[in-house]
Amino acid sequence: MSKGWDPGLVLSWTVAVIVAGAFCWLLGDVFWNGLGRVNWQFLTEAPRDAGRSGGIGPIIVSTMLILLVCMAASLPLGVGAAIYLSEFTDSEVGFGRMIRRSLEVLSGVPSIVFGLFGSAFFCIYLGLGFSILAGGLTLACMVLPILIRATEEGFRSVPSEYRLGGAALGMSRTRRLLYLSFPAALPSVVVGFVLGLGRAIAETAALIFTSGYVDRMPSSLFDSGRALSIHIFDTSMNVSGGEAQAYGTAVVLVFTLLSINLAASWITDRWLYRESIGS
Amino acid sequence: MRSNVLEFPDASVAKVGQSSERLNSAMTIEHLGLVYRGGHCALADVSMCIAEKQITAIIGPSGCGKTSFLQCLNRLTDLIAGSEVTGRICLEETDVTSSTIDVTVLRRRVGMIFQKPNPFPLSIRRNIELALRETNVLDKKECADIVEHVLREVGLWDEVKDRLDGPAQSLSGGQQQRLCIARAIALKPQVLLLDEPCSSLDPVSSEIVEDLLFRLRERYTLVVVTHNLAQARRISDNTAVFWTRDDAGRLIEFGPTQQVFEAARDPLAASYIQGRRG
Ligand SMILES: Nc1ncnc2c1ncn2[C@@H]1O[C@H](COP(=O)(O)OP(=O)(O)OP(=O)(O)O)[C@@H](O)[C@H]1O
Ligand SMILES: [Mg+2]
Repeated sequence: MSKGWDPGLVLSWTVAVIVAGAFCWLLGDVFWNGLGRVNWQFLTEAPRDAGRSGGIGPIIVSTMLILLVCMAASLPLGVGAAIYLSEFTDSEVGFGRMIRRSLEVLSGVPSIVFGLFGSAFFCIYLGLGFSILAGGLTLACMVLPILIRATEEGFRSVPSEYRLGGAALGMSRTRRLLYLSFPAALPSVVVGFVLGLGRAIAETAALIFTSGYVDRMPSSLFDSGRALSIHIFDTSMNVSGGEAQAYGTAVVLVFTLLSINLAASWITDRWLYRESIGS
Repeated sequence: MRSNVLEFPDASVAKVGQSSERLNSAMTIEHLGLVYRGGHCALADVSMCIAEKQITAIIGPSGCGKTSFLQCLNRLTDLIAGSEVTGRICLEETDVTSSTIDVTVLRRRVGMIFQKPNPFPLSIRRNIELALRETNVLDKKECADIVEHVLREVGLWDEVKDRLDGPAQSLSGGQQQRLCIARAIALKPQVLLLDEPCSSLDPVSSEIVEDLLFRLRERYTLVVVTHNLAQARRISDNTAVFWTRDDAGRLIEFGPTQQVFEAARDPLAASYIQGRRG
């Protein structure tokens, strides 16, 4: 074995260091500039002076409501579609393939396009106006492909022995689905859910035209509400002197995102692993 | 077309309760054919009778359609997209191949055990309860009684009675296979189909399962696929030899086990049994 520099190794290390470095720099920058801002008041108070001072209480609430709408709409639809795709269609031919292709295309569509669609369909055509409901539903359209993919994968990877075994015991298709496939696929559903949530919480472009900018505390789902990402965008771009607040908000957003991702990897590691060794 | 009906020349003669001399037949199969998607003909023109409360062994080289044959008997072929079954299968008076029967009821009457033990990733108790739920046994006490009864019947009770709520997949292979058998007989089937039930087990577990099959013979009709000729000879009353001929799985020899093993009429079957082919 030669002791010289292996160019492949050097290259991969360089790339790894650059990627990790960029990530750390970004995190460091956000936390360095923003962490000092975050305290209980910041998390609960309403923004004042167009966001130059005050807190982000209503914005956190709006964000949660938007996510709630998004998940309430996309979870049943996504899981239903995934079950349909994996259990009732053949993914290689006909209708199943068509849906699969459409999903692939959809998951590559830029979020601003979803925003325009949501604005035209939910806000104008359905008359929801700028509202949390419209924003959440637009996000739902956006995360559906992610959710369906992950969940379908989960259902497809349920060992066929369970299905055959269940069928041989006279279990109907519905019962096999309910008692055998679904529990086995549940970890993937959760992972898909968390991935979708992560995508949704970080979204700005799709929300600008749908849930809007209003930074008051929403009193219903039909009110406009400002999401965290939009607040960051607005305070840093449109409000002079708002950068500090933007950093504070970014800390909250990044912290939430990191927690969601950690939860996802924890679930995959622990749960999927335990599932696969079958104890 | 040469008919393959052997031993029971006219399958319809062997109807239930027709003669006290002749053994009752639990299932009659007439001119069964099975084509998989892509046109692969797994079975062609298979006709035989499966005698009630006896063990019918099915032997033959790999890929000759033994598993496919079992799957036709309880309509598991329905789960294989694009497969097509022709011919007639009767379970007593029920036409198994008919599109109007309730396959879930059929599959409770004709249970199946797979080559690889396949307990569900649940507790031992839940594995059996899940099966029972299908028969609308909902009473807790009744459920517990049946669980104990079937576990005793497969000789597993003493080994697992202290860990009924432990995971079924922590059992040994042989215990898992017996659990699967217990799960199947909890549904009180008439016929049990067993696809190489011992082939993934060690010799000791295999012997335990074999003894169990022999005991079950008193209460159930068994159809056992096996690659172990000695085992087929030891436990079965009738033996069927399948063979791939003209690109299709066919029944080439069928009769009482002793006769098949000592004086097979088909030369291929005879040489297979003597270990010279296959
Ligand atoms: N789902 C399927 N689709 C297409 N062909 C299949 C399918 N299952 C089995 N076959 C084919 O049908 C033939 C019979 O298969 P089968 O599994 O019944 O054989 P077998 O006698 O059980 O073999 P073994 O002893 O190896 O278990 C084989 O040629 C196999 O390739
Ligand atoms: Mg087989």
